[in-house]
Amino acid sequence: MRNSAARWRLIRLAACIVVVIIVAGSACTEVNPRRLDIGWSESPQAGLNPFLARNEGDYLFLGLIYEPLCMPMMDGSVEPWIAESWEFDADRNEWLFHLDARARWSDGTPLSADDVVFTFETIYQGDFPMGSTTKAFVKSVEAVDAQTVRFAMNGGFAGALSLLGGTLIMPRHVWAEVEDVAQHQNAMPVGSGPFVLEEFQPRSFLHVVRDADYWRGAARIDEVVIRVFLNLEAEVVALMKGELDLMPDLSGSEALIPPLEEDANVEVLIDRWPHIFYLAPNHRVDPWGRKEFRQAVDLALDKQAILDTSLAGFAEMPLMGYVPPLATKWANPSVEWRGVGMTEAERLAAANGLLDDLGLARDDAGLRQTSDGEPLAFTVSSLTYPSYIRAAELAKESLAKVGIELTVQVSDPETLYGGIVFSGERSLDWQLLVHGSTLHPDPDHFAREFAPVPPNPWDNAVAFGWEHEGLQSLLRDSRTEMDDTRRQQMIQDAQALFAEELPVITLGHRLHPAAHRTDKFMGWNPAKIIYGGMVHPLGSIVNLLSLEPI
Amino acid sequence: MSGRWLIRRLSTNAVVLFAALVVNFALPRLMPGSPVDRFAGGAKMSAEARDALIERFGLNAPLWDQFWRYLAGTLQADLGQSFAYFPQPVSELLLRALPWTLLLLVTSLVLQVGIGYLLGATSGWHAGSRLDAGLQTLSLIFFSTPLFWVAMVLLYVFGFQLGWLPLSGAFTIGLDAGLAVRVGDVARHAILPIASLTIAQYASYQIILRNNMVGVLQEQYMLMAEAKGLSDRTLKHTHAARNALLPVVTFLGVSLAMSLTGSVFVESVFSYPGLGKLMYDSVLSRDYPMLQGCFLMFSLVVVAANLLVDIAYWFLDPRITY
Repeated sequence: MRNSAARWRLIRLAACIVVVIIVAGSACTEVNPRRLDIGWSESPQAGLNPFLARNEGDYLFLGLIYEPLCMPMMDGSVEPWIAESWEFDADRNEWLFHLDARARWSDGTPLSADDVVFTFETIYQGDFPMGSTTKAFVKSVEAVDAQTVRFAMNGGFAGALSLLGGTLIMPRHVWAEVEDVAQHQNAMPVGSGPFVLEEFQPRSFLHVVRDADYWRGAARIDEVVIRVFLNLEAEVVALMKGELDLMPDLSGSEALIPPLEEDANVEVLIDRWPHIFYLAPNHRVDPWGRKEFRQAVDLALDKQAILDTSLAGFAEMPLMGYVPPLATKWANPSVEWRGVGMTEAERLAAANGLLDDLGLARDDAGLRQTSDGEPLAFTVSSLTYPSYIRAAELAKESLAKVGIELTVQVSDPETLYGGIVFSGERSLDWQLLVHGSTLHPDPDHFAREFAPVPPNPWDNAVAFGWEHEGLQSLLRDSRTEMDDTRRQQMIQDAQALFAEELPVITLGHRLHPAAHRTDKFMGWNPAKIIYGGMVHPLGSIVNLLSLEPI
Repeated sequence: MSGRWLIRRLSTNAVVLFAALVVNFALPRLMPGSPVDRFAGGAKMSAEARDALIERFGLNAPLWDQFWRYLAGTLQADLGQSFAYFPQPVSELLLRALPWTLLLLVTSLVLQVGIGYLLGATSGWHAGSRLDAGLQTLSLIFFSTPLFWVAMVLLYVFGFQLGWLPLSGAFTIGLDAGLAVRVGDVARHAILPIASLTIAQYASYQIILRNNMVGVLQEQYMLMAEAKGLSDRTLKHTHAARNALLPVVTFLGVSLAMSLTGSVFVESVFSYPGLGKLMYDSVLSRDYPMLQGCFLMFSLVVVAANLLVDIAYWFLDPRITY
């Protein structure tokens, strides 16, 4: 009996200790009010090694510590950053970048042309992902003097400024000591950016504090924390509760926007975005190789319904030339979807006419057949994203009205892309694909994806099997055309041809929702800046430098 | 417990672990998709950069070669480098994640067993009563509710609506405080994940114990104990519940595996940096070395737990000899 009483006393004592510890923990966990907390959906895959940077998350994290020569913007202009100016010498086919003499590394060492040369030489020698798309065009990189870098080019490279300029620059005096750059974890990064590392927990968070001696003038916020959330609902709740200050990417979770909009302390910004949402056919599967068939499918699709339902209305009607309307310098506004202004009956009649002309007759059940008697039945593959699945289901409904049967197959990204679409054997297992891409502001990507030189199995995978000598040579020429006006015209002509050819069938352009709290910081500056990759302006370094605590 | 039994048991476990090693190597590779295609695809990189990545990952080597390197590395405690977080070593990432998962698992298991014991013993003692019916209904509700959903509800109610507890993570980032406050902070962050795991899984213990209690209460020694004039409390806990406890211990090993699986969901909901979240990330990114490491860790934990359960049997039931 006495033992039992003692046991209960012990249990009560332990419970009291736990409660006291928890209360103590809750009483003193206030964080610095000048700290900005950002939510993001995945950890940087490159860790802290910028040479391995390969996705937008990498650039979001690393962009706080490292900087590029210049920043390409969505309107086609380029902002100076480490480089204060640049010039192209057409006669010698050289780019000269003049560095800002104020630029310093966080350890106080001046940033020089040697650092730029080292960065590019290391990338090219090691075939690192960052900046690797420029390798084929660059003959040599050399320092003219401490503040000037010369890039001698192999032929013309129209996208040089934004692609070379967007590469993050590394300090030679730190990295030259590294034996194997690919294996280096860079636990104590020295960058030229406005923040220095405080703590990095892979898969969990990055914590940086401001560099008081930052060469462009210290940031007005003290700290930035980027926290990784796997659960978007939890991320939204964290923003509403004030545990987060910024969600730079709400894409794909549009259903969560209404409660955010009702919160008086949260502002939701919905911007146009260089995104393209499309159906990609496998051109080697008959009759997808025929232009008229693709045009018929394009007309039969109820794109308004797809955008309203699958993207919850957060989308623009498509331009059909693979350049999003936001890229105002390059987009051809005349390549609207030909279904605009037509009633559904008119669209279906036009689509049916094209299909009839192709000899694709209907059987008794209304399903069309090829001349060989094969039914026009295809599988449309979608990722597990709800917006993609809904788009595939709506495409199925639309095409059923013209006698084409679709079966929706849903796979996770690695299965669909790694295992089916982009497999090394260039599998024929896929027929139609719902796909989305965020595009770089420079239309170099257009040529790289549809007319790659040398052929890159990845780049043209979405238009698998598609060939069109006229359009592809126009795109190839546009990559090397150094006259801006002529290049603009070539890109616009290419879009017109593309809209006629439809190697992929554009469904629309996603708008980009982001949200931030309004009660802690002011000076949000949603300038259209793309920094090294594809990060939303609210997460860009330019925005972070404009913020100040309320 | 004889030394021979222990050696035999350890040898069996070694065979099980070797089989697990082979399966752990094969399983990730049976999934469609390749890590390199994923990385190369997600990034805008040249074909040369892609090839360099394949070489860095060692994926250009024949499968057998990869297997032997994996086996030799594992035996030397070198689990390789993560593909998704290259060049970070798998062991480093695992060791960073393991303590968080152990914190959740061990605390939750203690609570599961404790709550399951209290409610199961009460329910069994009052078998057939309204209290028994109520407790059984409650346990069935929790037993059949998906863990993910329990976690989401707790997050919404206690994290957001009431604002009592943090929504995510394992600790407050950048907290500048003494040890006691830090410990308290970690405890606060762990409450909701632990509560989710406990609520979703305590019911098994309650049901097992309750049903055994009903059987034990019919035994003649219970009648004898009652005739001796022992108190209800002694009868219930010392004679009935203790004798009904053995299947609960058996279930511990199974339950640990279930809790490990559950941690994948719970850690994802609360963005808790443990093994479950690590495994979830690794499956999505086809990170073979990391998956192998996670599976190995899970195998080790489950095999060790079952060994401990067998040893616990020997302590708890004098009739059992090894």
